[in-house]
Amino acid sequence: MSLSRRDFLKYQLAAGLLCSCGLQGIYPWKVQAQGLPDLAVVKGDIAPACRAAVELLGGMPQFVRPGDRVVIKPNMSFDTPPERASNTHPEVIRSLSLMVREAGASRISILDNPLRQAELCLEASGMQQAVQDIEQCRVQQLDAPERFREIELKNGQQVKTTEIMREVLEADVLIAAPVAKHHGSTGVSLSMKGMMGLILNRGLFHYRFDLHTAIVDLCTFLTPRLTLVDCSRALTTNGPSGPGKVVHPKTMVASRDMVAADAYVTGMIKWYGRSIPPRKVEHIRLAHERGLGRMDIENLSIRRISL
Amino acid sequence: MISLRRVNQFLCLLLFLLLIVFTAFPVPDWLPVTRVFALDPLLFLGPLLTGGTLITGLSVLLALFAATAVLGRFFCAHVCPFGTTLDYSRPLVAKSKQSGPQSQPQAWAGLRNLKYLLLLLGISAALLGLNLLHWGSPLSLAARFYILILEPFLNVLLHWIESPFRSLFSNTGLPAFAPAPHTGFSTLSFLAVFLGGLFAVNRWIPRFWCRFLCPAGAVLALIGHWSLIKRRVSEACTECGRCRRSCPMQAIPEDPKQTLSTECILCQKCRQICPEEAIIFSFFGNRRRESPQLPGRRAALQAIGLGFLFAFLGKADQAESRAAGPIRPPGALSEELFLSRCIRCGMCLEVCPTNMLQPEPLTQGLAAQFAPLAVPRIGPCEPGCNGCTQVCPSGAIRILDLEEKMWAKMGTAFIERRKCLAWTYDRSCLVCDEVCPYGAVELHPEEGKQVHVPFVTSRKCTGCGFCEHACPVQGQAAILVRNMFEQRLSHGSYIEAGQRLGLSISRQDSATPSESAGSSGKEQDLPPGFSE
Repeated sequence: MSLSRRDFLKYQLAAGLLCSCGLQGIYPWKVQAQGLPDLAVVKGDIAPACRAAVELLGGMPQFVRPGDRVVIKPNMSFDTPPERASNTHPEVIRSLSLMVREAGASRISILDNPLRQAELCLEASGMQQAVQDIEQCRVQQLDAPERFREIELKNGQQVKTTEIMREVLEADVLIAAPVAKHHGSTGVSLSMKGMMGLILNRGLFHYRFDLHTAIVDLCTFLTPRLTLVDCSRALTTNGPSGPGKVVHPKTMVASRDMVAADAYVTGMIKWYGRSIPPRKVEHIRLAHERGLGRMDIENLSIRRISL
Repeated sequence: MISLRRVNQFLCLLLFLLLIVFTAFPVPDWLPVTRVFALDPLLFLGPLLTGGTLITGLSVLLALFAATAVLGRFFCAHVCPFGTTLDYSRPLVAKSKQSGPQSQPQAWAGLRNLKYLLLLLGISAALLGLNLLHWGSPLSLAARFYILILEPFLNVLLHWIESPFRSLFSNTGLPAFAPAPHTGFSTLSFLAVFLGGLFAVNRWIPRFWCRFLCPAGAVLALIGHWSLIKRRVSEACTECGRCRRSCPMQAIPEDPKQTLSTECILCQKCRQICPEEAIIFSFFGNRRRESPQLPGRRAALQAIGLGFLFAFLGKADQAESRAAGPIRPPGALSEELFLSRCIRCGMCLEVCPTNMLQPEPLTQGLAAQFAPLAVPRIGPCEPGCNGCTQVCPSGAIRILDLEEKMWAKMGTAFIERRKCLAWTYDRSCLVCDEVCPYGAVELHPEEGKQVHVPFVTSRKCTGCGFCEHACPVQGQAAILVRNMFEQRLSHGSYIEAGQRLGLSISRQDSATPSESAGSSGKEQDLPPGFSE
């Protein structure tokens, strides 16, 4: 078999590219991602702040390629208005959806498994209305068992299998867009805790497993490509449902690393009027220890801007 | 040619079904539930005789009685949705498609009196305080059939049909569509057998129910006997007997020129079938009135006696359901009044978006059978919904706005500590706190406990049952709503009454006591959920 010079050079180039991607890299955009910050923190009005935060991380095309099916996971589990801060602000979901749409996604699904009645949540949260003019974009509250599929959590320590929404399993990209809020049993409810909104049987997490370990187990499988925590308002007490004390940091925190995003927000906001380091949130600490992401934000590169 | 009767029947059933379909939350305010159910000649009797109260919408009923005095028992053939349902179901059970001539036109004719006896039985039981009349009320029966049986069945069917296409739908980007709701009701199989039986006997005797049993028909028959418009047969009659054989109500006796006015429902089948065109329905003409066929005195006394006996039994076997302390929908009148008023139509079950409201099973006693029972483990009472208070046609559940409904306390939640994950198993569970829409469940540190444990503030609890519904333990929840401290007022404001009692039920309570509770603890104590 003879090898022409041209072919030889081609293989060289390809191998070089592959090496530069590192072991994690079959995704070429990760190469470009170097030099970008780990965390983007933007203060300002909701829509421009969302856009700026994603731009700082390299822009939506870094995360969504044309034709991708995208799932956005907000908090919309309560039939309460945005000012109560128990749901993600609809404006956040709108600007995320617009960016995803501009990046050429073929389908955008905004999904949650609600705690209250689905229709009422959709209406009160303002979510449905916020995105209704965006093409191929749907908001759904799913709780029917046949819309979930059982999957194996290979890296689960306690949770070995769980049922996850089919639409999430079929999607190409998962984006977490939680609101910043306190949670009575997990300290905070941010992107990691929010993943429990995509599974069928949350009850098991409470009564069979250790809740924090179970959350980390789930996040080893449901790892969003992009996390944007809505800190336009934050529910700092009496979460997750409220009513509680709502503060207004007017900030968006975005990251590729869900643990880093959660850790940053935990440290940024005063819960019950107190500063609490992220290691005191057990599922963040466990996720850090298990290598799912990093809570040592002091060692990460953070870009902060104010609009 | 399609007869006027068929058009009437179809339209009335259609309107009735539309009424049921539109009975969904949010309830349109033009929905004439009260006026439609007031049409039932029987439903006013129960509240009147047991509770001494007149239901609203009585003018509609009086208009029906007036019309009956002119037209006779036209309601049964032209309006009654249950009669139409029986007619329409006949091809499903009949031997052949054609409802051919009956072999024995006067079969079982003696059973005709049963309807009067059942009416007497219902009246006498009602006089002693037991409302059984809803058993025989045709509108109630029809509503229960469509709401409790047919609609859930169609939902399941739709679900089966739809499921293979679901992935297709999800790719179209169509607006969100929710999967068919999984509604289910207790007592369903019992009711299915009961109604199925009524449909089945149609095979041998058409309108078996209307002929022999319907006590509402009995009321109309008594009025209709003296109606002005009657079936009149001219001298052209050859006494061929075809009309006799085709009459669905056996209203034509041996002499076909005569008519049993109590039985004739003006369906006009005889007029259409008469080869000599000798039959007309009009004010004028030869007038041959026969005396109404009524049960004898002995049978009547027996029925009344039986009614008294039923009333005694019904009252006696209420004991268990009383002891269990049923949770009723918000705004339900006090138990005795509620049961006497409730006509068991099932409209509240239909409107309830969470399936919380269930018909009470027979096991709970005769008196409360089919009355709405709130079962929090099945579904919670939505803070944003007051549907059941809007659709109750008899006023057994008072009309309340959202704010008043919120204060209409259905009961109080109690924590079953031995089963609670936080109290007994040291697990950080807060689901009851999380789901409570009124901030009535709070987590506090407790000495000797590793995690914060839930407490219920009963003055904030409205008994909606979100906590019981969502409690993650298996089987019966570890937090249970009981009817203790329930508020059931016949009149006056629930808000005022509740405030007098020191209740403070609110959704917008932003002054959070748990915040102060968190900071009042020792400085090193972390807020709930965090850990060292």
